[in-house]
Amino acid sequence: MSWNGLKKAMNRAGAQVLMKTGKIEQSVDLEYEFEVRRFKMMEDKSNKLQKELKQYLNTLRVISGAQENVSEVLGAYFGKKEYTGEEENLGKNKNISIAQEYHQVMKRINSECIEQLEQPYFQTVINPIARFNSYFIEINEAIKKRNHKQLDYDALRTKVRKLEENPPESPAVVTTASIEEHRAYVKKLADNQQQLETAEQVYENINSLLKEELPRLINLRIPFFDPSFESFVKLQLLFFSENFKHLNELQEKIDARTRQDYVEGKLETRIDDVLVKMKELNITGMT
Amino acid sequence: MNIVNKGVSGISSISHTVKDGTIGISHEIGNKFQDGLDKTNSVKDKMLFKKKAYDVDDDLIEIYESDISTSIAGLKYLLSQLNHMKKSYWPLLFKKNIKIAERFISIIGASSLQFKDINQYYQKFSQWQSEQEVPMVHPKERQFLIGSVCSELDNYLNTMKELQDRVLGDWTYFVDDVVKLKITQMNKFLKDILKVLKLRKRKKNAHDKLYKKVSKLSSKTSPLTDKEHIELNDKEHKLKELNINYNKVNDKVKKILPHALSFLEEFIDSITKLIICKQHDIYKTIQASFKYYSIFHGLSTEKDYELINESWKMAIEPIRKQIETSVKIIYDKKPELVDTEISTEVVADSKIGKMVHKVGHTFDKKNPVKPRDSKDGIFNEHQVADPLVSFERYKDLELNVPRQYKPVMIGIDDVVVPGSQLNSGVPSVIPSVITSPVKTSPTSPVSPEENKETLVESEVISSPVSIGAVAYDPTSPPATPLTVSPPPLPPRGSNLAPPVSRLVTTPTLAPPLPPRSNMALPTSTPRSGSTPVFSPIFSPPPPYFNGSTTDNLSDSDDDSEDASEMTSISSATSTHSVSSLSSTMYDKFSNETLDRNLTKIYNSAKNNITKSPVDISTQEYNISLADHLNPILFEDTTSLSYKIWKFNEFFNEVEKKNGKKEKIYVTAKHDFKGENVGDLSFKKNDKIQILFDFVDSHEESSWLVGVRNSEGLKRVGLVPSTYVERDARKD
Repeated sequence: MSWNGLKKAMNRAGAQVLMKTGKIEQSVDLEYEFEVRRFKMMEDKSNKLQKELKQYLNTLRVISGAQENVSEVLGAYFGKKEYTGEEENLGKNKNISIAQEYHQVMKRINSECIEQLEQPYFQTVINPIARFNSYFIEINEAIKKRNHKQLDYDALRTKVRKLEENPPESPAVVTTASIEEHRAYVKKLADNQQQLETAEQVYENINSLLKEELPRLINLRIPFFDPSFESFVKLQLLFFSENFKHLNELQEKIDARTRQDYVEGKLETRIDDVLVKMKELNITGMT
Repeated sequence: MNIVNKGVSGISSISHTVKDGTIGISHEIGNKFQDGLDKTNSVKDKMLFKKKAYDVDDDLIEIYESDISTSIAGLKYLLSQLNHMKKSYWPLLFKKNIKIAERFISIIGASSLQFKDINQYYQKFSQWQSEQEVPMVHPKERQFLIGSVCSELDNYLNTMKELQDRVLGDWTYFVDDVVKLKITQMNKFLKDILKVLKLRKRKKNAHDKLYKKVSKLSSKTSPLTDKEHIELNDKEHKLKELNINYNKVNDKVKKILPHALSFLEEFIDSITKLIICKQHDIYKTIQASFKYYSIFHGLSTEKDYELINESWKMAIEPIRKQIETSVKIIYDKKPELVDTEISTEVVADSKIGKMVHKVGHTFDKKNPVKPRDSKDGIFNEHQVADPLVSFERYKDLELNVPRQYKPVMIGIDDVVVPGSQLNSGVPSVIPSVITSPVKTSPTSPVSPEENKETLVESEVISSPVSIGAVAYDPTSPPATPLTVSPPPLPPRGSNLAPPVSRLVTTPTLAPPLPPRSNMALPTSTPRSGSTPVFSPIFSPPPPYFNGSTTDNLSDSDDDSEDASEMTSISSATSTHSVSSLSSTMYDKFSNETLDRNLTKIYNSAKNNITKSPVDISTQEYNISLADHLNPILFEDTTSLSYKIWKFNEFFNEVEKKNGKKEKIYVTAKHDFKGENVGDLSFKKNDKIQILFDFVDSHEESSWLVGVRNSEGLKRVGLVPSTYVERDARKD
């Protein structure tokens, strides 16, 4: 911070205290206030959205991971078989159980599908919103600056008013000293009035700029967020479609009978049958 | 396992020795002697020697035990994963999705960006405005309505909520009411198996201890005193009891394990399919939901991520430029933040790891299923004690022999037709069907035929479902068919189809046409009196009426006894009141009962299979058949494929010879479904051309070789003469 800047900051700190104690009257611009409060609202929500979008991607990762875990356990019952691409061409489902196949598919979903999703998801959903949120930094700077200018303006305004209200008493006898005093007062008043004018100018400039630009910015959020939302939906559709496609391919490898049984709810019965058979083995019958 | 071995300490395998007490003991003395010598050797050597007590059962059971424990852990883990998906993963996914939708609404929705005390503000503004000279637009009126976007968002929110309810409901039901119950039950069974294995271990330990004592006594060099004699006798007596006990458990374990494992395989397989189907379902629902929504709101449904990127870029670039101009106007100190295209990079976030950790604390838990045979898994073709391991451990070439337990499928030879059972008078063929662990030596590796065999068997057996049920029950009385039952099949020479049995015994490269005398099928005279006398009005009913409809006294007796045996296995004390508990148990779990039960279970499993799985190996095999490869290919001449091959050769020969002769036709009187290899299936009223009759004289029941044309396919096979009208027209 420059010496000038420091001096300004010191002055403002003083003025701030005076304002807090009500010594300085604060100027009010309701129109501006409205826009700024909306803007702050937007900033808050947009930041949260960014966070949640990231978390959502993680929930997709987690669920895919869990599914891979499930398939891995099931596949492990049938042993580990490493497949090279060559073997895959020769005979894909040769001596490979459905559980192992399931594991392969889930592994692919967990790595490939998520990976494919990641880049466009970042590009079209997370990054734009992150970018949008980065604008807030700039605008907040502008708002801060405007507040400073307002403070300067208000402080000067109070000062000038005080000067005006308390002119030096007209001396009964005009002396050189009194003339000097009066001249000094007039000069001071004029100086301050001059400063006030500049400060007002500066303040009004930035204030009106913000008043004008903020609503425009706020309104632009709609066309800006809309494409991201659209791709958010589209990406999900594509992601789940890809998953479904893989699963569908896998499911088609299950024999028709089993699929039919599943639809009719008989697959569960078949599992129950196995359990009944297991029971009939009468394992603990000996003891 | 090793504990057991240590306990044995220098005693050779009991299961082998105790059968013959004297041999066992003398053997033992030898061992003891050697043991004494060994004591002078280094400790290391002694340890090795101690380990020599080798029992192949122990090795195999150890494999089973570890596989079963790992299975339990695996199922538990599976359940926990599914549970986590139910409890947190899926709910979180939807929760976040819905939250995002809500955020979008709160940012760009109709009444978006309203701050807390906005109404207060509006009031204030109105007041302030009234003092102003210039009229101003009230901020309340400046609220824009963004119709389409707004309804799009609301709709999305509702879609997601609906989807959430459906998927979560589905999954919760699936996990709680379906998978959880089944897995818990299965795990209970598996734990029971482990318990039984423990029991076996205990019994073995007890037995071995006593055995050691006995052998110590008997190996004393000084003559035994009377007291010692009594002690020895007493102990030997006890030892025998223990041995019986142990063998019972051991036998049972050996019989049950392969089956239990095959059921476990079926279970895992079915569960896998169930989970896949469920997951498929859920993704289908989700995908359909998204698709419907996208189409409804006119979102193009791109098939490519790139296209999504493109269309997004088209939409956002101009807006971005506008916004950035605004921003620059307002504050232009950090130009690096604006005026560049939005990054396309994936930003790695350190929080991701944390989040994943928080969401799924079991997320990175490792898969607990670690089969002994990590390459082939738990359900490999056979459980084998690794010969190299055995050798390394016991330093004995003799022990370098792989052993395996394998559930024995019901062979084709074991399908006993009621009629032939009558004739043979053998009450039970079955108990030998499921023999105790099949042990194969390394010289006969599991050939592909074995797979093939089971495949074909399943086909063959599955067709005569009910016959199997009757035939496999050895206690069921000779089924005396009532008038309504189909005629009994003519006797087959042996349990094997005769031509095959002959051919099998003399596998030659090109078997000549069997001489007629040899081919005589009915080796015993046809059943007297019970030759098919039935009115053709009745169509043959399902054969399972055989057992239940007879009013034969012995039949019902047998049935009930059978049933009681079935039910009382678990509560081993009822029905028979035998003096000692152990002998009761022994009775109950005699091999026969156990085998019979296993047979039943097995058949019920086999009979469910109606389609043969398509296996590449089978196809390859058929090709080799067609090429008439050397029959030496068939190492196992009892295999079904071998029989089929032989039959084919035989039929071809018969056909060739028959070419010039006149054609004899017969008409089928009943449906017949082939039961053995080479049988010709036909339906009632089918015309069958007879190629060859094994018996020249037209006896009442015999087997014929017939040809049937069905749907353009010519099929040759054996025809039971009792099923066809003999004196049909002759061409």
